Amino acid sequence: MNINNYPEIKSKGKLLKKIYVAVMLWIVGRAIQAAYRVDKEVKEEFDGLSDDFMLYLNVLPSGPGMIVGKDKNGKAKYMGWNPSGKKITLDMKIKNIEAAILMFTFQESTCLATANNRLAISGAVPDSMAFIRILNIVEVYLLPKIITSLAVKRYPKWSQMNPFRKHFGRILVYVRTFTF
Amino acid sequence: MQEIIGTSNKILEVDLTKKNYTVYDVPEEDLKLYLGGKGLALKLLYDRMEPGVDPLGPDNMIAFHCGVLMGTGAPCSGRFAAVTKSPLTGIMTSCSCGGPFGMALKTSGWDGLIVKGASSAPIYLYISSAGVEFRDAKKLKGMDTQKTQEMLAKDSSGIVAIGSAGENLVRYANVASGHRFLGRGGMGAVMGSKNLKAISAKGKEFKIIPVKKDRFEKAKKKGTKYINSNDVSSGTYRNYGTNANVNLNNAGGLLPVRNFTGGTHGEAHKISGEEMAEKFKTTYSTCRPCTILCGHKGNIDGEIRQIPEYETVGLMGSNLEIFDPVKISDFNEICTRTGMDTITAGGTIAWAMEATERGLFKSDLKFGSADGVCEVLDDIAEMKGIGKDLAMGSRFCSQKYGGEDFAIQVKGLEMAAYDPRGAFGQGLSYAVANRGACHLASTAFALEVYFDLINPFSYRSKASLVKFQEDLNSAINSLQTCVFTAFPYELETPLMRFSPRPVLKVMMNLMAGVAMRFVDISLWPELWSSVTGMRMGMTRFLRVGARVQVLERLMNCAEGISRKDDTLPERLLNEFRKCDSKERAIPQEIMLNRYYFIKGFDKNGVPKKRIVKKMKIKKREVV
Amino acid sequence: MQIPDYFKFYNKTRILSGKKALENIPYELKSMNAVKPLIITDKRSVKEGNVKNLISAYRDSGLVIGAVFDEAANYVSTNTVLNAAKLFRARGCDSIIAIGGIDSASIARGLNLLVSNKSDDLLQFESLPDTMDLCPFIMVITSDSRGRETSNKAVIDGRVYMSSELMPDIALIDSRMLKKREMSDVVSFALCALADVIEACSVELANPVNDAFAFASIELICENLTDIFNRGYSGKRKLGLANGIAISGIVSSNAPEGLGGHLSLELSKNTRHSRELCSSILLPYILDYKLKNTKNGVRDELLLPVLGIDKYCSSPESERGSLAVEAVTELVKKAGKYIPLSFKEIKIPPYVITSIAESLEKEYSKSFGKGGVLKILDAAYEGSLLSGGNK
Repeated sequence: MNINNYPEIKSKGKLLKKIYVAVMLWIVGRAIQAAYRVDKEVKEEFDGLSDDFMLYLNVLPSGPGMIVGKDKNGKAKYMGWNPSGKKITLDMKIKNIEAAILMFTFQESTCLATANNRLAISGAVPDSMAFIRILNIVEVYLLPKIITSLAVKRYPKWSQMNPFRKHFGRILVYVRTFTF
Repeated sequence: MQEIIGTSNKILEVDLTKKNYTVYDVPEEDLKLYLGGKGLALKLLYDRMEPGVDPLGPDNMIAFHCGVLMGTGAPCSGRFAAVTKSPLTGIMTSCSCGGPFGMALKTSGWDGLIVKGASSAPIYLYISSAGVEFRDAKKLKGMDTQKTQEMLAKDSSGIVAIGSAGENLVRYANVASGHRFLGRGGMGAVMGSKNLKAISAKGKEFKIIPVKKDRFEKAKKKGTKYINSNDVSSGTYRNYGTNANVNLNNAGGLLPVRNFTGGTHGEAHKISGEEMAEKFKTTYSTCRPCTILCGHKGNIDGEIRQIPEYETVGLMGSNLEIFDPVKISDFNEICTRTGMDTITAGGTIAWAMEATERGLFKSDLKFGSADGVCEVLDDIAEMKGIGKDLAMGSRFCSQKYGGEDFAIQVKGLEMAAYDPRGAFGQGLSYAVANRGACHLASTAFALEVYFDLINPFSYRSKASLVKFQEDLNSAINSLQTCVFTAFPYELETPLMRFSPRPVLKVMMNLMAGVAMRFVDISLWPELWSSVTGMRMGMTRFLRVGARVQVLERLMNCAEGISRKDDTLPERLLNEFRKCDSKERAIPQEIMLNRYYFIKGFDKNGVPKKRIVKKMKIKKREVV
Repeated sequence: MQIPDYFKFYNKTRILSGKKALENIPYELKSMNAVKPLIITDKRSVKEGNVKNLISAYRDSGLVIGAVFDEAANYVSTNTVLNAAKLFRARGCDSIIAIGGIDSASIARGLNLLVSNKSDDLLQFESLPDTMDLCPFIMVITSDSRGRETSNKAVIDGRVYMSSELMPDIALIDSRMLKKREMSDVVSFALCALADVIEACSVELANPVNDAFAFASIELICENLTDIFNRGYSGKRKLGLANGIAISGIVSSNAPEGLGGHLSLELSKNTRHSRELCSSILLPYILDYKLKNTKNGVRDELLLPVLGIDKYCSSPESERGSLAVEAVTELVKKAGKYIPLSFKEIKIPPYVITSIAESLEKEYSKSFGKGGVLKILDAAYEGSLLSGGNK
């Protein structure tokens, strides 16, 4: 048998998908920071987290990521993508880029992705639940209903988020996300 | 001496259970459609035998048929055919055999013989023009094939007999006629299961006179002329026998070496026909009448022995990595005495050697060593020790012990001594041949390697080539003459002799189906026609061959054969040899698909209704 | 529910099934401390793009695939396994991914034995302990899978190597790997897996854990196969069926081989028909014979996964066994559109049937009665079910 007939296969990258997910993570990170300042519910959830809370949401093995945590004033702040020098208290790893694409193209909601074991979470479970609730609200602000209903478990009813709050909040979140 | 003009058309139907017989007159229609020999024998069984019978049970039948040319003195016509259901493969097997029995049966006034049932005690049949006598064979029990024939020769001019292998139901036991054999498929075991030790025929009671004597003489003269002018028939085979193939195969990468792991060997010349002719001072020892004279005998180890044929030398020599012709002759003598097929024995022993090497099987056998081989052959014949399993063939052994990938067999029949990785057309032939891995169904290797007319490593034209040769060989075996007449009768015709080689090569490689139509095969139907007085041209002659092929396939399909069985062993499909640096794989599927298409089979390899109708094969209604 | 006096159940295999399941492989391997797998597969899987799908799934993982060894064929020989081991060592691999059917799985298991034990002699593993340290092994189920891919057995050169540790660590089912097949193959593979699992949870062998797996497998196979008959082999149906077949391997690993398994193997050896086809034909006849002629009959609970809870609850307890047999027989009859339903149809000669019956008579005369094996085979030959109603 000639082993040269069976060559090694080095895996290539998925550049476009990585770029897309990176952009989405940046938007989500910045949007969480913005929503903290705009939405009362988000602020309440975030304030309920521990003082040293620092979330690192990233894609395995070497994919894009985003870090959101509390700054020294206790406010939500987007802290980039590089975890070195930071004390991560909640590490949420998306197991592979395809799972990330499923989440960020809203083919699977975050809850469904978790149920399908697409995420590996290390850290306090209550913190991760709180984060997912924050993420749901941020998604309501960022996306139209038709897409958000795919991304979240339950789209908030009129009584939970009235149209004025939603649309006005949306404008503010978008402005704060894309400006400095 | 009385005369038979043409052919008697009379078949003896013998029932061993009831110990009686009847005479069957072959209708002229059947004679025209099947000619005689293999074709008619097959048709006789098709009409009489249900599918699904136990090959070693009383319901199995053996049909012998001499063909219309037997006894006429036509060149190389001293051969008869036999057909039965093989205990080795479970499907139909047909054999062609030389030796004196065919002539004896024919000149006793009978064209053929069907044997059915089973005797409760050992018997032998004595056939004369008066009919059949059932004679006690207790004294012959345990006797070898040659001694049995000697014992019965006093009132018979031709005998077929089995040895201890047949009596003990070795699945590849054969039937001896002189020093020739009904070799493949275990006909000896079928006779053994019927307690039929031998069949002897008085012979010399009738002269066979062709209907059209002048035409016959002319055709006979032409045939003799062709044989004497062809290099192969009057040179290679006449001088060196079939072992002339050793050097040719060694050069062409066809020689089986070490259980088909190699295709060439540096010591192959030691077992070649050329060296054996010189070493053993060989002289002729052939069928009668024979003009080619391929059979030889010589002084081996101080005694006069038959020189082993190429298949024996290949499968029990190079295939076991034994290059001592004396040792190979010893093996051949044991197989001759006990009545065993040397191809299957060699193939099975090669499997055993490799399985022993790999720890799958326990034996003392080793490649390159003749030690223990004689003992194992005796054990096989006696069905004792490891011989009990080896007597069932390599397919059975490999299923029991492992090593199915290196059991070199197709449909249960061990492969002949031509490695198909050196000639892809031969690979197709082995895969589709009706009786199993048979080298005589189609001898594609000859055109691919010996005559270098078709690229051996291409799949193109192979299906057409194999179909043509299968049809032709089936027709020749229905006449019957020796298939070696194919060399002179095809190659000495003006078209083949004087056509420029490059033109022949191009046509054969690109348009084999068309090229075959131009091959002059008129001599064979001319011989048949002049003997019987019935018209037979080339097209009809070839159609007969096609008919016989389809009939045989139909009978096999009724036994469960389909596409899954038309496949070469794993080793030949997936392993490569050192002599082939390009590691060319046999494109079996492409060739098979094309073959089925031109044969008129469906994708499972079953003949379609339209081809069965075209061949005028009626629906089976067992009488 | 029946609980025997003593039972043992072991399952090492995790099942990952569904959308984008393939992409989990790098993560799962890493969690088992493996980074460089050797892929074992057959040429058909390569041609159909299954290997390409797997390699795509590997993209962006930063890992390397040692090689793709595509020499799995209908017969697995020791030679093939040794060649795979040679390649495994040469490339410094540390895990195995098998794609395809039982042949790929057997090669992978044999390979695992050799490389994990640093040996080149497979024969020394003929008797294996139940606990062994083996390399991570992932089995990717395809349309060629027939159930034994997730089992604890490897068949190499006709020899069976069996150990619980030979079960794959992960069985992966992704619809991208379930390519179109001839319906005859789909049906015979499914019925063969069904036959294996029904046999494994028969009365004599029942234990509650194995039952749970078995009933899930039976339900998945019956439901999805019926759906496939009506709507073709595609969509969620093929995924459901593949899941059922995969689970059947786990079930049959926790029970000894029964009559159906033995018979189909012998028939396959003697006639070259596939084991799956022989098993499919035998299934209703074995059940029918057991129902009418054996002391233990057929389990009532079998009706639950076969026909569902409504039919189960609405049927009298005494009739559930026979209704289950009827339902399975109906299912096999429907399959008659795609596969032959008797041995006569596939031209197995009666003398072969008689000799197989004789060879197994001694082993099964106690549970099936004297001549029982022959009666089953004869019925399967004729294609006529044994007449009669309840036992």
